[in-house]
Amino acid sequence: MNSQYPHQPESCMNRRDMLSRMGTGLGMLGLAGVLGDENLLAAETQSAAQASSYQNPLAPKSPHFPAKAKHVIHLFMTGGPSHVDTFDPKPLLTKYDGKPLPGGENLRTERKTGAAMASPFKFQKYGESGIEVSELFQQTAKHIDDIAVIRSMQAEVPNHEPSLGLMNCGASVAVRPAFGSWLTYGMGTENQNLPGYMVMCPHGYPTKQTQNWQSAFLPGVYQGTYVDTRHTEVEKLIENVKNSKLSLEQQRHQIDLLQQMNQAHREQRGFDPALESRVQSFELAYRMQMEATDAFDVSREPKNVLEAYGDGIQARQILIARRLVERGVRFVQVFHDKGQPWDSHDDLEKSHRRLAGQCDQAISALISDLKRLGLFEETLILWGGEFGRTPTVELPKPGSNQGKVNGRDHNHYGFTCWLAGGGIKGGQVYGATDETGFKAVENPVHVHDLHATMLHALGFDHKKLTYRYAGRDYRLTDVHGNVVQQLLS
Amino acid sequence: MRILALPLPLFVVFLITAQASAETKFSPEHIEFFEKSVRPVLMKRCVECHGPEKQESGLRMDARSAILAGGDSGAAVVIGKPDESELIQAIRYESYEMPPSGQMPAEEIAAIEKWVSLGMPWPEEAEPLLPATFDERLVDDKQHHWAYQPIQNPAAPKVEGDWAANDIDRFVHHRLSEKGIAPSEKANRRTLIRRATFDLTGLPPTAEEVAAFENDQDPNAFEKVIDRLLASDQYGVKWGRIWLDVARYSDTRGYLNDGQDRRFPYAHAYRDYVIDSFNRDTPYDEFLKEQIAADYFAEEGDRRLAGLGLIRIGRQFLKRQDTIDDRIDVVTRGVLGLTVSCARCHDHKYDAINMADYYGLYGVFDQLEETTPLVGPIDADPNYPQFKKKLDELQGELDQHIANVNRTIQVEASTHFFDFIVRAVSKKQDVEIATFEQNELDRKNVRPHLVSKWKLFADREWKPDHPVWGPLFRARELGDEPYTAQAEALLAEWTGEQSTLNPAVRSALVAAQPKSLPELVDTYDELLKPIGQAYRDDGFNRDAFRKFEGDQLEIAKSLLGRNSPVVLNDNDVRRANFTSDRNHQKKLEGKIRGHEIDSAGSPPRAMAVVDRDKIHDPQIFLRGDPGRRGDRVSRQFLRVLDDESEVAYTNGSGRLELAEDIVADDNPLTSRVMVNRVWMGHFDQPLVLTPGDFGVRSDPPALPQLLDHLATYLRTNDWSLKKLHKYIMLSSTYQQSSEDRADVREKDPENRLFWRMNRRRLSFEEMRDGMLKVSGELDASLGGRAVEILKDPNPPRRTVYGFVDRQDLPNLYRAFDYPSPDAMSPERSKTSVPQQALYLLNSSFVQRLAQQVNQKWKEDPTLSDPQRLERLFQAVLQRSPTEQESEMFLKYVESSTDEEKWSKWDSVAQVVMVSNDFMFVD
Repeated sequence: MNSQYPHQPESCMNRRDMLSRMGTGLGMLGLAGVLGDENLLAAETQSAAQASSYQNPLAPKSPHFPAKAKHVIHLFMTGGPSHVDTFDPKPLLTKYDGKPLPGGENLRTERKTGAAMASPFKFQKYGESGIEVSELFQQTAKHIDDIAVIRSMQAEVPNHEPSLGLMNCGASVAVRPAFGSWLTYGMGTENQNLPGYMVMCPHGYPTKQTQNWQSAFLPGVYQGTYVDTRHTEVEKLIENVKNSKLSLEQQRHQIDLLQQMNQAHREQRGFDPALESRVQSFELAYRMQMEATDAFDVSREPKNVLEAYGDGIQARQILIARRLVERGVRFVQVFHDKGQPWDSHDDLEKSHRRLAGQCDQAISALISDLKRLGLFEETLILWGGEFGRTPTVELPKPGSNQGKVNGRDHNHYGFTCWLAGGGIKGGQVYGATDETGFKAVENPVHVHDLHATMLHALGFDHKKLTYRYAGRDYRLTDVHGNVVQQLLS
Repeated sequence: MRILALPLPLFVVFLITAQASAETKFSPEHIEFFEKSVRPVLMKRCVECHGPEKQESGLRMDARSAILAGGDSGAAVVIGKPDESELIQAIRYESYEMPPSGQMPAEEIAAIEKWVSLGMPWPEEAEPLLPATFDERLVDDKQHHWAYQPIQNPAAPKVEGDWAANDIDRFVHHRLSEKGIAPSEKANRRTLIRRATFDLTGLPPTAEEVAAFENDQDPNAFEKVIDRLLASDQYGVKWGRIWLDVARYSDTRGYLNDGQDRRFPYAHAYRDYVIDSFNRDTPYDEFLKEQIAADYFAEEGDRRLAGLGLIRIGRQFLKRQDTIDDRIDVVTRGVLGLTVSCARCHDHKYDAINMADYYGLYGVFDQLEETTPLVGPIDADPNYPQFKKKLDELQGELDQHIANVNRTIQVEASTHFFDFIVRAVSKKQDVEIATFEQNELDRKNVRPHLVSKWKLFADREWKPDHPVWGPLFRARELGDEPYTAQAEALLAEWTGEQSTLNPAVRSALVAAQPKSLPELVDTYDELLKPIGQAYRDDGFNRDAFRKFEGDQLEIAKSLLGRNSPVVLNDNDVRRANFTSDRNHQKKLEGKIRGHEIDSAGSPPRAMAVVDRDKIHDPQIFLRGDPGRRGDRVSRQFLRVLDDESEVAYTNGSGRLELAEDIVADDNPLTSRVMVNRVWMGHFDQPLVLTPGDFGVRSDPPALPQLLDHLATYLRTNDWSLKKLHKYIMLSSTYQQSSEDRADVREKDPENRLFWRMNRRRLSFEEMRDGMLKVSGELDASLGGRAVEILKDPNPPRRTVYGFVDRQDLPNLYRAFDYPSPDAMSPERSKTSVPQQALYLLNSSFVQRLAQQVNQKWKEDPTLSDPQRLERLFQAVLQRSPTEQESEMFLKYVESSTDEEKWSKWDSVAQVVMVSNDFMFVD
């Protein structure tokens, strides 16, 4: 068999799985460059191809083509931030404030909306590109020349769960692997002492819970590892990361005994990569204990860095995101808070001001910090929610809203996300909504297109990053997705 | 001139090409060979990327001329010369690797080679090749795809020597001999009993059991071990869990957006039914029938009804069609190994399964009512009376709430006429309407549905000259201000001599002189109030109109008559509920469910289904969109597995007929899929490498005759899985050592021919249960509601009884390759990640078990360190430590110190428990 398959993808799924499941893209990869430093198995006298059959599925792998971006930080504004109050100014709304929108009826969203609602926030031009950003993200706006603002995003339905599914997993309803799962499946991760796909959300889960970072039919190792960033102690962040009985030194002594026993066991049995692979996993675990503790401990940062990020949980988790990326974690997702905090059906001014106030400074600091560390060019940052909000005011409904008429409903017809960092051409606005901000009319970018573009920035042809399951090759973008070349540098 | 310079072979090619294209006459045999062996391969493997739609590298493979013309890199074929043809090199994976998704089976490669050698025979008229129609594929697949061919009962080949213990071995030995491979040595007795015990019970043997077997001189010693293990109730725990992977078992329904309790009330009844069925050795065909259609033949109280949980325990999606899809998938992919759900939106790209097939089954699984029948005596639990008392209280509370809300809504609908009518008549915004002083209700207390009822009533019943509603019709048409402007004239018309209005209405208008729209509505409000009163007094009975006479009768008859906005049915009441009413109802329902789930004494119920009373034939949803209906199709079995008759199901939803089709003698898949699964359970590797896909893209097994032999064995031995286990385990093939043999590995690196036993790592369940057992903590009792095994105090039940929340599967489960409970899982991944090791090193659970192992002898000061070590090894590994091991362990003990609450012996015990020796089965 081996002679027929000179180029093997490596994994400790058994080889049969990989052969039948890996898509063409990965199947064509050579072994060169894919053996992570942890893969000591190849040192065996056996052929590399054979040894590879049981290697660590998270070992780093090259993408389809060389690319700048190597990591992703997804700043998820769960609930749907209003684009017309942040990155997509619509003066027309001020003109028609309180009056019906010109041009007739409102598009159908989750709930009923009425007259136009002016943005309560001031917009201003920033940077050489002169892109307008509202006061809510005035700190982030300082980096606008590094940011590509996509004002023509589109999702499929005006409801949270399906739209979260679409944004995170490329499918509104069906159970599909998350972007981070696909990416760690395709690229592995650079630091074997930390999980490759980390998810942070303080106080509990966001809406749709763990389905946002599910690996679905991909092997479980590609699922996001969730941490509740309300906690600061590393033991509460990562399960079993600390031994309560033994010091590290004593534990090393114990692991040495274990490895001696395993070594003797293996010698009796001859070649078996699965045995060796398990031996290695204990070494990785031992190192993870130190590395994870270090990664999550922001107090090790210098004072000026801490001050740059500011106070509060957002600042801490965004700083942790940087520390994780710095350590080679592939995909870091930062959910703003449990549930759907940005879902401002009413009191929009108050809540958007509060929420943006919690993260604006830290996002700005993140970009500066990544630049300072030379990581900006290899880190792809995505900012956005699962959809945007209506330019019209949401009408109160018996049983909810309690008579408040000062918020906006969900809007999947048009909204804003922005990209920055690795492989992205900053200082540009791509696409546009109509003059009211209701619907993307110029160069619409569907979420599938966003995913295809991001994968491209990471070096993947989204059509070739596939996995065979239930008789079919699946991919993140299903049967859709077009790469938006203009967004790429 | 240049032609003369060509190398000779190429020159020859030109000649042949010219000749072929001049004549294109091929013998009928060669054309038939093309049709049978080449065309399907080209269509299946090549044309998708090299055909009319896409021409990767400029190459098309759907016409002989196009293949000869070649692509960007020149001609794809040198006629008559396979070795020199780029096409052949590519499919051999010598140059390009085509098709890129995986190499074609050897037979297909051989067919293409032969075809090139023959000069590429091609029928004259077939250029380009057109994709086969669905009907052609149906016929073609039925005739040619290996998995659809009838199961053969091949005679076992003759083999030399006395290695073979039964026919399994003859099939295996025969193939091994062909490859010049000798089978491996028999495993030693400790290895054998450990293997057998984990295989059949998911637990390690005890040291005593190992010793007894090692000392048993009886030639049937191993058979006795197998019989003992098959008779153990722990067998069902192990193999039931394997089936639960297929059944996508979970204790929760999935995501709920309203914060409700997401636990299923009786998922455990299905889990217990499965384990019990394995222990009873229910024939596999019966087992399937029970899970698909038990309600057709089992009465209330029958345990078999719990089998219907298979249909119920999938994820409950927010959209119903997805839930039905999941039911179709679990039955088709799980039982038949076919991916039918591809045909939900379009005909299957590969398999001859189309939307008519899919929606035929959709009709079977859609038209069901969910039930919770008893699967035993209602008072099976002695605590039942207390349970029932509390249940009645809660139910009473719920009934009371529903009755109250119901009454409130009915009263409102028959009282506050102004509030509803004005909203149906006025064109003003609700905010403004709310300022009318005649309103009786606060704006937020006006139920939108009751307004809608009036709007509907007005649309359907009001006419300009209606004796009762005419004025309101006119006012509604005019709108608020115009009415005021014209009120005088209108009132004159309505109250004048010529008026055809109902006299009672007329006098009311005369008296009130309503000059504005609210005043007009208020006039009606007063007119209608007595009728509403009568309706209420009569117990919300529409016959109340009979109490009225004369002018009043006409008004009452209309108000309570057709499309009445006052007479509400259950659906109206439900829709008129405020969100707060509904939430309170949900809360009370949640309490009842919580009581049923959490309290002792709840009756033994299960989650089941029955057919709806009225069954209709399903309609295709075009592109899977329920809003776009296509043809109506009959409910029937997949045609690719059916004989010509294509009989539509008529008995209810058709589930029993479906189940019978699934287990029918002429269905080749059900038994093949199951024996493949059982084989995988024993050898850690299936015969057919895609256990969830036996469709046309699946490759035949390396040992096709063995697969059919086993399928025949299962069917002719009462579909008994226990007999099948025993048959497999008594084979010499099963009893081989797992030791590596480098020379043989060269020939068959993946052990496709089973020249040795595969060493396998314990599953998550086997690992946890095994550690519990060797530490003496295991509670091996069966059945009951799920327990939180990962939460303190970590109940020592077998892992299958752990609570499985599909919405929040613990990281630990995923880290150890536990399958996603969201879809049928044909096999588990095998990964090795540091999170596994972290759990084994640092979790308080594993530490507790390590301490527990030592507990029995730790305090005995008479024991020497070597004696302690001996006991430890016997307890965990059922063997003595080797000399080398003794040395390393004793050295560790000498060089380590005891900690508070953690002794060095605890560290030692932990090492042995998490060692590869424990975690792998040889």
